[in-house]
Amino acid sequence: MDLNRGAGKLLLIVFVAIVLAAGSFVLGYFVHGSNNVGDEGTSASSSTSTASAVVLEHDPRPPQATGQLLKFEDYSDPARFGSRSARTAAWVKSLANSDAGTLRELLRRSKDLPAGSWQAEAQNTIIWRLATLDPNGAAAEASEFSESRQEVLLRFVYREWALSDLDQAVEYARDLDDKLKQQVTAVIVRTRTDLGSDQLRKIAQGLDHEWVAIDLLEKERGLDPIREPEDELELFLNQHSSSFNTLSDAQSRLFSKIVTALITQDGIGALKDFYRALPAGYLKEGAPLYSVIADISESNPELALEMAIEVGSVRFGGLAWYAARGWASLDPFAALNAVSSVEGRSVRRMLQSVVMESWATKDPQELLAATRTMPKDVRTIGQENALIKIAESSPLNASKLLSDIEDKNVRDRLANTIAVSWARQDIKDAIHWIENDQTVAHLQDDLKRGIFYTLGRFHPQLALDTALDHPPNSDGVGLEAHVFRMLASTDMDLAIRLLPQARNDATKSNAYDVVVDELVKSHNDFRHAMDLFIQFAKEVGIPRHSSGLNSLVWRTPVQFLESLHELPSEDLKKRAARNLLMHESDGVFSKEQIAYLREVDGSPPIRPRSPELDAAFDALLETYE
Amino acid sequence: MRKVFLLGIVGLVVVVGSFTLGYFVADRVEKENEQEEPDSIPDFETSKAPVAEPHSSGEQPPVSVLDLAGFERFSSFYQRSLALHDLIANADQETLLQHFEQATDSLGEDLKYEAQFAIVQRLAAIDPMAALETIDGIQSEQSNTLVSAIYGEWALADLDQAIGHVRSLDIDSKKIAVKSIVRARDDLTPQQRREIARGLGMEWLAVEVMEREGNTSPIQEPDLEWSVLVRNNDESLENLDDTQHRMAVQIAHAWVVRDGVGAFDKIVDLHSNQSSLWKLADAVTREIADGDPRLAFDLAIHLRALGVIGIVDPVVVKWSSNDPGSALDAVSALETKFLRRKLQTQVLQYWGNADPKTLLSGVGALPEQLQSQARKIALISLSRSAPQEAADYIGGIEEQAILNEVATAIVGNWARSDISEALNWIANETSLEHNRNELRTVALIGLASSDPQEALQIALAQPLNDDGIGPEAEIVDMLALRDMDAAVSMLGHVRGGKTKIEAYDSVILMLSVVAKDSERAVDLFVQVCNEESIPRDAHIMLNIVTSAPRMLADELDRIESEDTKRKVASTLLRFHEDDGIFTEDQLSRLRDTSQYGREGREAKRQTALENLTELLMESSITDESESE
Repeated sequence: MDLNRGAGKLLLIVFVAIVLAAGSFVLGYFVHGSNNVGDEGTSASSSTSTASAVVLEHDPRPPQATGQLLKFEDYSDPARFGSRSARTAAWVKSLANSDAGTLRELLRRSKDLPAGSWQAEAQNTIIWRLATLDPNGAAAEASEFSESRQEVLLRFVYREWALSDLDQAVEYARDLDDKLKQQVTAVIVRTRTDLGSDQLRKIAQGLDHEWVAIDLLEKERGLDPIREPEDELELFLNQHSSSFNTLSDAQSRLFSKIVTALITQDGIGALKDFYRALPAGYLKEGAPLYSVIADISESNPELALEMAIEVGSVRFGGLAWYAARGWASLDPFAALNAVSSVEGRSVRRMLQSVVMESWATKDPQELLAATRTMPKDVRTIGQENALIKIAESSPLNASKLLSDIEDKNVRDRLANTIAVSWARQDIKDAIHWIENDQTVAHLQDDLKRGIFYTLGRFHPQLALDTALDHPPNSDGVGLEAHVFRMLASTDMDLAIRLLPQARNDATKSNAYDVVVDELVKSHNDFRHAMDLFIQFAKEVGIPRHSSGLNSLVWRTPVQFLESLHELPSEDLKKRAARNLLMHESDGVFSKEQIAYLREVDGSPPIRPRSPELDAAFDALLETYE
Repeated sequence: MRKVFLLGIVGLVVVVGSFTLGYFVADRVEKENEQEEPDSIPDFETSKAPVAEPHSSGEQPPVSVLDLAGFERFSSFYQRSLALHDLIANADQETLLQHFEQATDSLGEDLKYEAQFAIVQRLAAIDPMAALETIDGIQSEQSNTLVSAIYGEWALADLDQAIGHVRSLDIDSKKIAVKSIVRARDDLTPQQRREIARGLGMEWLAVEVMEREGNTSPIQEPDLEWSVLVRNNDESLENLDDTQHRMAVQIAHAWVVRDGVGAFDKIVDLHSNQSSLWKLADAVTREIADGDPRLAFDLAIHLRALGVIGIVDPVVVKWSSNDPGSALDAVSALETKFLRRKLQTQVLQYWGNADPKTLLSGVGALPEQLQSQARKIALISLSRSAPQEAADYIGGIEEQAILNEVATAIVGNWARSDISEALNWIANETSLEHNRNELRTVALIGLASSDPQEALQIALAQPLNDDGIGPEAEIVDMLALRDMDAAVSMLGHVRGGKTKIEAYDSVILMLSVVAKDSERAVDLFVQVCNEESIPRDAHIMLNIVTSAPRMLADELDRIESEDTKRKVASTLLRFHEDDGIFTEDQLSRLRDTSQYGREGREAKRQTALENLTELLMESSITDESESE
């Protein structure tokens, strides 16, 4: 028994020892773990205890949040802190010791704040702080916001992330959409100022936006990240030889960065070596070249212009035009001097004109004053551009300057511009000017035609009403005919709807003509044209010269022939048939159709043509040459 | 007792030992885990910046902004920001100015902006005028941000004073200031914030800011506000200044969003001036289009019915660039036939330009009447980037007009990058059999845009067409639009006869109409007159006679041939004898010139007339005998 009792005690002791040992082991294990959690401060627990450690240090005394989660209302009124600056400092400080769980809870609650600058600031700081603890989580939280807010919040996230774990940051950024990826690339490049150009370019390359790194290194750090542009261009061409016409925007920008570096370092001549490696014409008009011109223009507009002319892009809207326009917006005097020494006469005039136009947009009065000392041919271009701009804002002032223009062609063109600008502002004043200013007396009809035509596009009813207040021309056609001409080409539904408002038969006839003509010519709508032609014939009658009839005869002869029976009178049928017979010898109609037309027309069957008679006619005509 | 004591000692040892063992095992496990994570080792050697440890201590707090530079001192930017705030929190004005100067002169971009902002904001809390003076020389984009920070603080410290100062600003600075004040004072009611901006003549800006902040308009009763606006402007809306116009846009916008497009009817009723109505309608529609293109489209169509036209197109263009499918559905439901067709084409055009492949693959899902047009647009667009790919679809096009249009686009684009492949395709594609010659000319024109000299050489080797004109005339025509000087230099190389006249005609037309260089146009006309015989009714003659009559008359003597001179003079008279272009003296000289060789011509005419009369007589006798 003693033995048993002794053994029992021993077992009990051993059992207790094992329990103690196991318990102590487990305790030791977890004490280690919990220490580490404390060190890292990244507990996922949403416990509010860590928030209680927040101590707000500012004056006046801050709202105290000890023992509970921070309260936004304590911070929402910056006046309680004395200034927004102090509120910002207090808010940043109050989050400095918060753990990730607390920050997430704060972020959730911040969404209930009234929208405004405080909500945005509060959220920015929360995400920023969270990014120092859990950048991945911060990025995920940011992605819950609107696109425009994401752009702001991700900036905070990636600044911290690029510092703490660049690899992970880059990896995560790869899945962002292109716009955000470009923005994040910029954040990383700006943040990691400890890295060299090549490293940053490589990182940006991994995010498909190498050009962003190059751009920022150049502009913000004053570096030349492309040290061997020739080699880089060669490499680029090899890599993209089969896809040059389908480069992405980022690839195009990289290409333009490399070309810019090459030209800036080695001059335009260096580019010639690469002409053959590019698709034909690429260097002349390729879109990336516009970026090159824009880049070079910033530091050396003269070189940009020189390059544009060298590659032969001298059309309106081409590279030379673009370079000159950009330069003129900054320094029109210098730009004008430079383009005036360009060799080709036409390109020189085009560039002078674009410089003057840009100058006029900037300051038309300054340009006008400057033209006084310019050579005559350039002066005319300058005056025309200056007055066009002045007319846009003050047609009255422009009209007073009109008589100063020496070149009659230019003066006439300007009169038309002034009239149209004026009419768009006040049609009555415009007409008054046209009817009373002697400088434009010889152009009265042209100018009225111009304003009613133009106004018909923007204010058709006003144009129509005003036209009806004015007498018709000597043929009895009202000015509203010009409105119909414009409407027929810009708004056919409206043109047709307004047709009954034409004042008399002569004007109606004119209006129907342009509508029918346009329906056949531009809308390819024979049926509608024919219906209106019939209506026209019934209402007004078809005049001797009708462009509507001509259109049907010349543009849709077969359909017109097939619908001949629909015409409302025998006379009109006969006339239409006679006109259609002009196609007799050009193979448009079959023999049966020609016979039918002759029958309707009442003319005898045609005899074969005599070659001798034709030759005699030609000989007679030659004497009228 | 000793046993118990001994047991206690052993127990304690066991407990301490086990605890220690547990602790070390945990430590070991963690270290092993760390070693077993090769995947998490950064690829970049530089993955972690050389920052300080999170809780490093012993560093002295920064005494200048320069101490904030570099990574070594702080574990994160957040920590650096804390240090920055600490640095400036209690700094006096003079110290803040020093900090600002140092930040501006010596810090890198990123930290510079952050520091400048914090310093200026703090300075503004002490002395806003001094803060404004401090940033006076800053030219960068940062300047606006700094100005905003100052007015934000100022509005809090002394709103009246801030407003007083804003009154003296120019329009651009005022906008920035008003925006920051309205933003900063979000403790005030929307009405109060609007009143502040109204007092500064920019109420519309307050409405914009609040709308952007809250995604809803602060204008809750637009109809009432509209009445007030009208009343304040003498029941007329014709002469609103810029500020009033912008406010009117905001109210009308809110009204349409609240009550639908019909709300605009009342606005239209009040406008007798079409220009101001158009301006308002255009601005409101564009504003709405940003957030709700469907509503903007409905409004534009409604406005059109009210007589305000020209608003629909820009809305559809914008909508097409974001959501062409929805835009197409909307325009296809229009009842107005011609507008519907025009807008459908416009949407398809935008769609095709942006994403030809998607449009091409979705053609089958479109209404049947749009399918062939959509296919055409998609293929033409595709041909710009991938002509060869577009060429693969040509066999499936049934309508010949569309086939020709697509083929022309493919050939033109292909020739630019690879002329031989393009010519090869023209020669071998069976569906192009009917117009291979035309397409060859198109290919040469395409090539000419990138390599005019090579295009000219190939063209010169081609035969003349049925009208007796060589394809080089087309090359000159295209070049005249892109590089006039090159086109002019090419004129000497084209073949004589009709080809040369045609080429000169293109250049002269472009010079007179587009380049407005009549002098050069006349010069070239004289040149061609001395090389070729120009018919009196040739287009080139009519073109120059109508575009530069005076200059042409002045240069008439430079034409060598008296007969050509006569033709030009008589054509000038035909068009301008009565329109006041020429003086009596000039007319008299033109009449003299036009008389050259008159007698000989009249004799010739008489003979021709007699010959013709004779033939007609014979013909009529034959007719009569046949009819008998």
